[in-house]
Amino acid sequence: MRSPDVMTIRRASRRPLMTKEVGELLSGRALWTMLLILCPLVGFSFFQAVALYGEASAAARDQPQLATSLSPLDGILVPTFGAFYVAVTLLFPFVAIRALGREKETGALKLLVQLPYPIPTLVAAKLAAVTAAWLVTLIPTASALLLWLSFGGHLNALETSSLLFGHLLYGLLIGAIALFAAAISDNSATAAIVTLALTIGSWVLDFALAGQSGVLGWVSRLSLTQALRTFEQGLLSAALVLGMCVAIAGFVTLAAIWLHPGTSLDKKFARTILCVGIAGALLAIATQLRKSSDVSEDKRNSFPVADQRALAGLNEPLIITVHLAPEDPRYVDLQRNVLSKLEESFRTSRFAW
Amino acid sequence: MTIGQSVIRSAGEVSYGEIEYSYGGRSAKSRSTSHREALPLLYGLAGVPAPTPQIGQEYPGYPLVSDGWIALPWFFVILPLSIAVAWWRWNRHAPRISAEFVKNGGKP
Repeated sequence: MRSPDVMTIRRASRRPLMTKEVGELLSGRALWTMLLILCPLVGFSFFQAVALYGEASAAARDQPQLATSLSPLDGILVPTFGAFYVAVTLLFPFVAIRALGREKETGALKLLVQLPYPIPTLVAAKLAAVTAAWLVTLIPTASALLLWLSFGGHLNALETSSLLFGHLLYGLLIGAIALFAAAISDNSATAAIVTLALTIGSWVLDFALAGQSGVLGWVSRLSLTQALRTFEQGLLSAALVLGMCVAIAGFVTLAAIWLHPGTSLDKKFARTILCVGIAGALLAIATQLRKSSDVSEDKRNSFPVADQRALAGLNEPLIITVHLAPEDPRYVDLQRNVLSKLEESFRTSRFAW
Repeated sequence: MTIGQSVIRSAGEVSYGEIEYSYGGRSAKSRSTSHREALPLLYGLAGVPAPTPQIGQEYPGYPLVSDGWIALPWFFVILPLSIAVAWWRWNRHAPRISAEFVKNGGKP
């Protein structure tokens, strides 16, 4: 039956909903506990990174040519954000699950869905609250970067913001998975197991299938941790960003599909299949995108400008035959030092690949 | 320019480890995985001179010797204490239900 009070739904302000969602996360112990754990975790990583960077810098005083290899991205940012990544992988699911899990456990979800908001708005508000919680958990890491600047350290705005953006996408992906897990589970414990199975499963994929070729190699690329490596190398890839955005939107949509307790299972499964199909198609399109930008200050992902110009003048087909197994570390080096840069050079020069 | 790439996987071959570049009907082999060797090889095949590197555009590097010990009190004492105080202050305020969630804004 159509609701007689349609205008209320259209005019309902989002502000009280957002206040409620953010308040829910802030009043829980998970967020504060994660913050407290992050302090020594990030702090010790930062301390070790500064110490090692200092040792390498001391050596560069005697041999100035060594200074060119001293990049704060590798020396400070990646190790400091590495500790943050571990905490987001293992602890942030518990924070995000609370956004929905507690309402399911207490039965408040049945009241929530009666509020004058459509289900997508409710889930979007929960994702916005999860984003706010991620920003709060960033405090120790952000303070480490400020300390580094106060020491007289250098940070490049472009590569720092790109790495930060990568971690934001990763945090949102973990949050979206947690929301989906909470939507399909009866209690928070089960939701945590489902989420950790996906996040820790990524580590297993990394260890077990790294360097494999064929189907196994393709499966290994599904690992969540692989997503951050591109950002850590100072590369902003359109395919990766779009892929992560599709994955986030996909899990949030699945959470919306499974949220309403009054929808039949048949409808939920049918909508799930449709959602997975659309997300899969979009991911397939994303993998075809070849546009990427080298945002590292030392331009490690591209050839020097003079070489790029010279290569742009070569018009005949170049065939490269590599006599190496894909799992050979030398092939990884070649891919990073030569092949990907050749690809990047010709792409920016608008030559066919 | 079109680039084609093929990978030969057998580790038992004598040629294992070689990278063969073919351009303009000519080819050359190398075992180096560095662009410093690959690019001159490529320029040689194409018959074009290698460009001279532009002086002053190299990455300078940012060496810094600093005392990281200063960070430890911040991360192990000051910041956790500040977070604990913020948590305590937040929990002192009982969660309020927004008036917009109550019928007629909570008014009779």
